Formats: sequence, C-alpha cells, structure tokens
Amino acid sequence: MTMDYIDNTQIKMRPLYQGLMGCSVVAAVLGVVAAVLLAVAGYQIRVTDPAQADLLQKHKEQLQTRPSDQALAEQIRQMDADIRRNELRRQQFIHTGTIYLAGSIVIAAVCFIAARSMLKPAPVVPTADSCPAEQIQRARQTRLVVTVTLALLGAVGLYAALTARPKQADTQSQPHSQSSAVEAVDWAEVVAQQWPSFRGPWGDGVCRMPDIPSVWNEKENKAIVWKSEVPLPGFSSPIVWDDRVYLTGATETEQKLFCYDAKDGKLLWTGQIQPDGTAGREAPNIMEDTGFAANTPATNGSRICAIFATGDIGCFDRDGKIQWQKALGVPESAYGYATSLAVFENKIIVQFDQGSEEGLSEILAFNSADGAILWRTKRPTPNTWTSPTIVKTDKGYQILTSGSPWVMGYDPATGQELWRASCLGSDIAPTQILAAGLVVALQPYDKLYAYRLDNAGGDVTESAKAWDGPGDMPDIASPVSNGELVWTLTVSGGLSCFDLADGKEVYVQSLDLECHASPVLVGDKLYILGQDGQMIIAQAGRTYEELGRNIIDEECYASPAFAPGRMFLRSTKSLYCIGKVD
Amino acid sequence: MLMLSMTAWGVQRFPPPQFESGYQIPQTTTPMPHPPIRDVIDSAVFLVALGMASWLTLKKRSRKWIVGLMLFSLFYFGFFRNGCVCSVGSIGNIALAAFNSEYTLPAVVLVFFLAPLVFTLFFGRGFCAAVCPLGAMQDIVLIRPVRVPEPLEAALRLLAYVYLAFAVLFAATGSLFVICRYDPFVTFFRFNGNWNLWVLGISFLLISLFVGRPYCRFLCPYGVILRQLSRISRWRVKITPDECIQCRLCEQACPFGAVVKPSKPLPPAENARSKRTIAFLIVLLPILAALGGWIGSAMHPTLARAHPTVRLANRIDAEMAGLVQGQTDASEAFRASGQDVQLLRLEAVSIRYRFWVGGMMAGIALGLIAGGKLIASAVPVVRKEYEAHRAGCFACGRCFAYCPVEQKRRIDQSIMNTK
Amino acid sequence: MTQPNKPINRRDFLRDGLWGACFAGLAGTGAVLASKSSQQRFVWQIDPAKCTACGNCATFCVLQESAVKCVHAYQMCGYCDLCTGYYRPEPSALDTAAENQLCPRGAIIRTYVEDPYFQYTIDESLCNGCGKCVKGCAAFGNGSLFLQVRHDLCVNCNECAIAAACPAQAFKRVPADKPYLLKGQG
Repeated sequence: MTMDYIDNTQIKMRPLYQGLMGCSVVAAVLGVVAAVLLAVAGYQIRVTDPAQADLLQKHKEQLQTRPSDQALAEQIRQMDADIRRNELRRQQFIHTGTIYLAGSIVIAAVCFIAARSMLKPAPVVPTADSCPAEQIQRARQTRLVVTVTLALLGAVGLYAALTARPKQADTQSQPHSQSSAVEAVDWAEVVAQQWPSFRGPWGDGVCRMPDIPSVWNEKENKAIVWKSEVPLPGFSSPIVWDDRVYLTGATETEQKLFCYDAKDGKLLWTGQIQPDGTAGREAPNIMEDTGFAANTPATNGSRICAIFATGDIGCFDRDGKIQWQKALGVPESAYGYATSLAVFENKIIVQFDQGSEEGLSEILAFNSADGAILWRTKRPTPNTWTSPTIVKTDKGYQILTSGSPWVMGYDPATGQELWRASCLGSDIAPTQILAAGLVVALQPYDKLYAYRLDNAGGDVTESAKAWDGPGDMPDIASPVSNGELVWTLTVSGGLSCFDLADGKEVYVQSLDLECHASPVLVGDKLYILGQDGQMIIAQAGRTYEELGRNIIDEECYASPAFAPGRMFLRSTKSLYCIGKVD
Repeated sequence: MLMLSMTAWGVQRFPPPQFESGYQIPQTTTPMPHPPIRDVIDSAVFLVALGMASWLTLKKRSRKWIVGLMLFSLFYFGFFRNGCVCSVGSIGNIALAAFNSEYTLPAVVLVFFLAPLVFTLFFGRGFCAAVCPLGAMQDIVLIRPVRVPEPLEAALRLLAYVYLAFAVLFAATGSLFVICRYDPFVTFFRFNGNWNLWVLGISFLLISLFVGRPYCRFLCPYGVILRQLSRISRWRVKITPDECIQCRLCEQACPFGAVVKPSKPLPPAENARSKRTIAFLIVLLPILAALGGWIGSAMHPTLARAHPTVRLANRIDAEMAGLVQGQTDASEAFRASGQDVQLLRLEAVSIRYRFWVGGMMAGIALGLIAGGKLIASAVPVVRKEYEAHRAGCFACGRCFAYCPVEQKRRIDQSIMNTK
Repeated sequence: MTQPNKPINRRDFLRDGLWGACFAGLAGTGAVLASKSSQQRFVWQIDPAKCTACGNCATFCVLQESAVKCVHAYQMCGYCDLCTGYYRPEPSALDTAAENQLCPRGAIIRTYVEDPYFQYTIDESLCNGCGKCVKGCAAFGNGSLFLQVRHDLCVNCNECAIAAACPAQAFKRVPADKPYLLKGQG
C-alpha cells in the first residue's frame, strides 16, 4: 500500500544517497539519545528536585526550633547551594538539549527527504478498477463508520452532560423560571424588598413593601425618623438597598455619590467620580432645571453605580471604594442628560440617547463588577429624558425604553431588540411602565398609549396596540398603575385616571399642587408629592378621595424611595427618613 | 501568619528613610516588549509567503521549491517567531473579538486569520502546503505513509469539526484558547514548555512518521474552514494541467488520500436506491441537529467549568455548603478581596447561560455537519479522470512526479526553454 | 473555469454564485473584524493590586524560567534592616546565610546603604517569580516588592498560561506602549 521504490537500486548505491541516508540515521540516533537525556533531566526537575526542596524546607523548620545547631545550619547552606546549582545546570542542559534534539530531528528529516528525492517514483501495480459496486460499498462503509463515530461522540457528550448534573452545592438555589434551563438566583426575589433604581426595581413607582407610613409632619416632628443634609444639589431620586440609602449630587466641578445609613441618617461615605482625562474638561451647558445630577443611581447590592449629565459613570463597592469609572463622552442633549440607570443582576443598563436626530444613541450594559461592556446596541431615537426599566414577563426579563418615536423592548442578556412600537414624538421625559401585561407610555400633552407585551417581535405598532386615549398628559412625571387603573400627573397638578382595560378616562382631578416628582402607589393608596413638600395621600380607586396631607418644610423634586416601614424623601437640601419613630 | 492571605497591597508601615549619605534611590527598570515594526514585518513575510505558495503550487509546480518554502516557513514562523501568532490559533482571538466588545483584536492577528482564507478562495490550500509551520513540521517527517481507509478518514475528520466548535465556544465565552493551549508543536518552536505538551508534541511527531499530517487532517480547526473554501476555489492544484491518460500511476501517490479515482455512473437500480437513502438521511438531518443541540446544551454545566469565574463560584458554593475542606488559592483570593458572593453567583449564572446557548448552537452545528457528511457519502459521484480532491488536497505537490503526462510536459518545457 | 464559447451550465453558475457569496462573506467578516481591531498591541501584565503572590507564576509560565519576576518599587521601600521580604520569619541572625533567607533562589541582594538602612535588589537572572518575598513584604512591610511580567523575557503567548492559572485573575492585557503596572507611581 505504501509508496514503493523498487527500481531505484542503482541510485541507492550512489555515494551521495548513501551519505545522506547515513547522515539521517546518525542524526536520528543522536536525536533519540538527546530525547532520553532530556527525559531524565525532566524527571529530575519534576520529581527529585522538589523532594530535595521539601527536605531543605524541613531542615529550615528544624533549625527554627534549635537555632544554635551550627551543624544543621551548615547542612542547610550546603543543600541550598547544591539545589540551586543543580537547578541552573539542568536548565542549561534542557535548553541546549532541546536545541540539539530539534536540530537532529530537522537534519535527519532534511537528509532523508533529500535522499528520497533522488529516487524516482516507480509504477505502482494498479489495483482493481474502480467499479460502481466498490463505490457503493465504500459509501456504505463510510456511513457506518461515521455513524459509529457520531454515536461515540454523542455518548461522550451525554456522559459529560449526565455527570454534570449539579451537585448539592449547585442545587441550593432555586431553578430559574426564565427560558433558560440554568439554575439561578432569581433577580425578582433578590430585589423584592429593595429599591435599587429610579421608581423601584421595576421602574413602575409601585411600592410592594409593608408598613409604609401615611401620616407625618415636620413641624410637629411627627414620624420623621431622621433628616440629614445633602451636600450637593441634584434632582435625582434616592435608592435603597438593605440598610443603606444612596443618592447623587453634582455641580459643574464635582460629581458625587453619597451613602447614608438608613437607620440613623449618618453620611457613611462620599464617592467622587472623575474618570481619567476629564479633569480640565469644559463644563457642558446644562439647563438649570435639569442640573448635573438628574440621573438616579442604581445598585445590585454589592455595587452602586452613578451616572451624571456629563456622561461620566462610576461604580463603588459597599464601602465606598471606587471599582471603576469611565467617561462615555458628554451626551448631546437639549436640556441635559437626565436618564436614570437600570440594574439587572450584574448588569448596569445605560440608555444613552443623544443628538437631535437618530444615529448617536445606544443602550449599553456594563458589568457592575469591573465596568466591562457586556453588550451595546444602537438605538433609532434622538435625545430623550426617559429611563430604561426592567420588567419581568412570563417569558423572562426585558428592558423597556421610550424614545421618539419608539417604545422598545430589549433582552437584558444580549441587548438584542425584541420589539418596537411607534407612538411617541418630540421630547419625551415620562418613563413607560408595565401594568397587567400592558406597556403604558405617554405622549406629553396628547395621548396615553398601551401595548400588549405578548412577545411578538419586530415592529408591533399595529399588532400589539391595546388602546390609546387622549388626555391632559404630563411632560415630566411618569404614570403609575394598580393593574386596573392608571394615573397621570401634570406639573400643574392635573391628576387623570384612566381604565387600564380600555383607556377610557375615569376621572380628572385638579390638585392645588405643583408636581415634579412622579406619583407612587403604596398598597391601595396614591402618594403624590408636591414641589412645596406637601404629600397628598389619596385612595387608589375609581373616584378621587383624598385621605390626608403631610408636609415637610423643604422643596421636593425627586421621587420617593422605600424600605420596609420607611420612606425616603429628598428635598433640595436634605434627605428625610419617614417612618415609625421608636 | 493569618495575615499572610491579605497580601494584596501591603501598607506603608515604615516610612521611606531620609538618607544622609547622598544615596540615590534607584529606579525600577522596565524592559520594553519588541517594537511594533515586528508585527508589520511578520504580516509582510506572511503575505509574501502565501503569494509564493500559490505561485509554486499552481504555476511553478515544483515539489522541491514547495519543500524549500515549507522549510523557510518552519524556521521563520515556527522556530524564529516561536509559533505565535499563527492562523490556526487566531480562531480564538477572532471568536473572542466577535463576542466580547471589550477585547481589541490586534491587526496582525486579523491578517493571519483572513489572508489564508482569501488566498484559499482564489488559489487553494497553498497555506497548508508551505506556509503553516504546523503543517510543515508534520510534512517533513513523513517517512512511510500508511493509507488511512477512506471511511475511517471521513469519520476521524469529524473530530476537527468538534474541535472547531468547542474552540470557538470556549474562546467566545472568554474561558480559554484551547487551540493555543494544546498547540502540538509550540513546545518545539519555543524549545520550551511543560512536560505534557512535550509528550503531546512528540506523540504527534511519531504518528506523523507514518500517518500523513495527522493534525492537519483530523484535528486542525482552521483546516476545516480551508477545506470548505478550497472546494470552490477559483484555481487549484491539478495532478497535471494536461489531459489525464488514466494510466493510474498516481493512484497511490498521495499520502493524504487526496487523489481520487474516476468513477462511473451507478446502474439505474442502485441510483434509485441511493436516492431513497438520501431522502432518508435528509429526514434524519433535523433529528441529528436537535439531538446535537440537546446534548450540547445539556453539557453546559461541565463546559462552563472551563471558565475561571464559574469554577470559583462552584468552589465557593461547595465551601459554603461544607462539601469540601479548606480553600483553594482562588477562593482564598476571592474572600480576601471582599467581593460579593451573590454577585459572583449571578455572574457565574450568566456565564453558564452563555454556555447553555453556545453549547446548543455548537451541538446543532455539529449535528448538521454530521448529517451533511452522511448525505454527501450517499450522493453518487461521476468523475472522468484522476484528480486532486478539491477539499482534501494540501497542495503539497508530491503527485506531480508520478504523472507521466506531467513529466512529458516538463521535458517539453525545458526543451522550449533551451531553444 | 467555464470556457468562453460554452454556455454556462447550472452547476458552474451555482458554484460561481457560491464563490461570490463566500468572497462577500469573507470581505464582510474582514470589515467587521477590522472595525474591532486596532494597531495597538497588547501584552500581558499583572495587576499588583489583585496579585496574591500564590506562586503559580513560577510554575505555569510556558518558559522554563518564568517571565514573571519580582520587581522593587524602591521609593516605597522602608530599607529595613529586618526585611520580611528577605528574611524567613524569626531568622537566627540578620546575615546573608542561606538558612535565614526567604528566597529559594537567593535572588535578593542585600547591600548596606547607611545605618540602619539596607538596599534590596532583585537579581532577575536568579528570580523565578515564586512571590515568596512579595508575600513576606506585603504581610509585614511596605509592600514595595511585587511581581511583574518582564517583557524582555515574555514571549507574549496568545493566551498566557499563567493568566489562565491565576487564582486572583490578576493578569490582564495592557497596551504594549505602557506595559507595566508599577506600584508607587501615581
């Protein structure tokens, strides 16, 4: 079967051929010798030398117990010198040895090839002619062998899969309800009692925690647990994780994140964000009504992330140590960049909408641990002032965003766009919410829209539309819903209530408040915060019913944050904790 | 003693002294890596070598010259440049760059990955013939080629696809560059390396004495891509550019089993039978793909252990559950750094999820490829003359010397030249 | 290739189409990848803030002698007489005797500067990057000794074998024009 050179006897007698073959054989033999010696040296390095080193270590420890033993000390010195000498010698040996080995292999091969190339290929005795029968049989054999190999590969794979069944340690956590078969800690459980981002874990302004106070008064010092000064201005809202409250503040020159102890209001630490290369930067032109810290920070418990109107983002650990910071570039935003961060597991979601036309905007996910960009997706929208929100659907988690004109959904794992619906226009600030399977977004001054989140992909403008309803729509505050009704609130205090099922207006109530903060729903009550520090508590029902008014003495723009039994209000100067005073 | 685990930064415990003797504090030296021009030179040499290889295999048609270029490549890309960067290993970088936006692909790697693909699409596998140092290493030591039966060869080639699929999966998830780590000959190129890699390299070399280019044929993940491009290449190596006289002298010439015999059309009865087989195999295709996808995704917990973060998360969980005693270096370092376990778990979960998806994709791809192979084996081929197999031919040029038509052409040519 | 006077048959047409598609595909892949690539080269380096001096650098490097060496940030050093990077815990005497040294290779040179200060210099030709001195210095001293990949030795593997084995994930790719992460500098 192999190539044969039967008719080359004459050539083989030539001195050149003989010489080349001889060289080849000699080189090959030398190569084998080198390989054996190298193997011995390798064995010594791997086995003998470490044993010696261990022995030396033992001797040194012995010496520690009897420091005056000069003989032992002398022995140690001797051993140490020996070991080091051996090691260097062997390394030198291996280095030269490998060069010899490679050299001999190459020489052997080259001589051999050269010698062989002198020979002429001889005719091969032809085998039987290729006939269809043979062809068919070969094809059959091929299929058989390929199938057997496949089965073997499959078996190996199956074995790996079966032995990989999670051990006890892995099964501690509950199975994931998401589409993946991966066992996991479900994010919804992790954030159930937290307020990790703007308007809560799901960005819908619904507080699902118990014992939230509904009566307080600063003048009478009623139910004010503590009040702490906030050193820097900012319209961003506080966030809460366990026993810590975080908020941001910034001026043209400073960008800071503050961490307060939720128990007593003590300022635990202050983190400064100033990424490399931003030191001497010219401050961007930001409208006073937006300010440099309108973006609410976000946290997943172990990392707290803040972004500012300058596009500088940074992340701290619980102790206030900066983990990473980056300058994403000052976004081109008509009133100043004000979008809040969203958080999902280890991902910090940044909706970075900018420019007066589409093309510059994108949405990114950063790894909260190290700031690595996990994915980034271009967005077909110009600058917006809405915020991304995380929602949980029966098919898994989604990121919702609003812009002009698209309301869109993304996969938080990959950043892939899931669907989009066109309904908005011009400058959008109110953030979308998900209520009873409907995405509710609103067009300022004009209309309220609802889209079914039925997992259809692509452009669902027509196919997923549930209803739209005209009304006096706000231009700042986001809507809130209890799953049956949805409320909107204008700056001038116009509270409108719509039926979530069909979008019909249920009532309109004019409140004597100027409102910048978005309304929130606590249990069956609406909490509506006025700019003057007044908060109206109203029944969340089909008719308007005011249950009470509470007041603090400072101006408020930020939306409240919650912890079990506690509410946190940020005024222009202070952070209030409201709850039962022990 | 307990403090030893907290090595991270150390603390300024002893203020640096104020020296009175005029002692100058030395500077820490920082020897620099090789200058960037080396990448440019490497790329240029690589492109020239590719061009040469194409010319030698298609126009010059000389085995001697091909061996010469092969030796040059072996010395330059292998021994001189230590076998790194190489086109085969670049698959890892490419996969990582495609799936990880944080990773910047060095331009030289892109050249090494893309150029052979483009050249192959035009000129066939000249890269394998004379530019790849791994191929050269195996080619020069081939002394007594043993013919691998065709069915076995087809089956073994599946391994290369498996290797490619998993190499991409591991690289894309940022776990490891399998191809680079288990590069068979890099130990030779560096004159250095650990024990296991020496054993691997020497084994491959010994096998290569008798089985032509075993790595190239049965494992090389880059070769798999080149095979497919070579199938449709514009120009490619022929045993002779002139007409085949069916003398059958080249039948045994190729040590890689890439000289294929002519075959006649099947008789009608057989033809119908093979059509039925093909129909059956086409139906089987989606089943194989589904099966592959299922096995691939089910393997994800095992596969994911290739990722250090998952290993660490598993270890920490096992430690917390009391399933293992003591700590590893990694878990100790993790605890000392004060990072959050919950976050680590979440990260491990998202990596496992990526492996779940990736494993499924790899499985589906492998199922389809295997199904495709089965189908291809059932399609009757009609071939009039002896020729170099479109996909399998490494363009090594061995067969030229066996063809009497080619010999005659050469003699004619030399007569023409001397005139 | 098809002869000019022969009409293009279906097989050739398909093959040409496929070829064109492949070429376009390659060109597209090339363009996408080129947008992700850069002239910037990267080399491996240890982040001293993460390094735990576990000792893997000494054993996992593909080179026989590791390209990782201990380096000294002299300006952070306390120039101690009793250097815990140089001496084993509780040395019997503060001299250069083998039984008192921590370094298994004797790679640290101790020289007298002025009373009571000593300078410690690493002989990189002897150092194997095991990090024993780094651990000692960080535990009880200023932490001025730390491990770095030396780029005159490093062959810059596509995937660094030590990085793969690093328990603290302290290895990272850094730009080749700023290839060191030194302590005590900014």
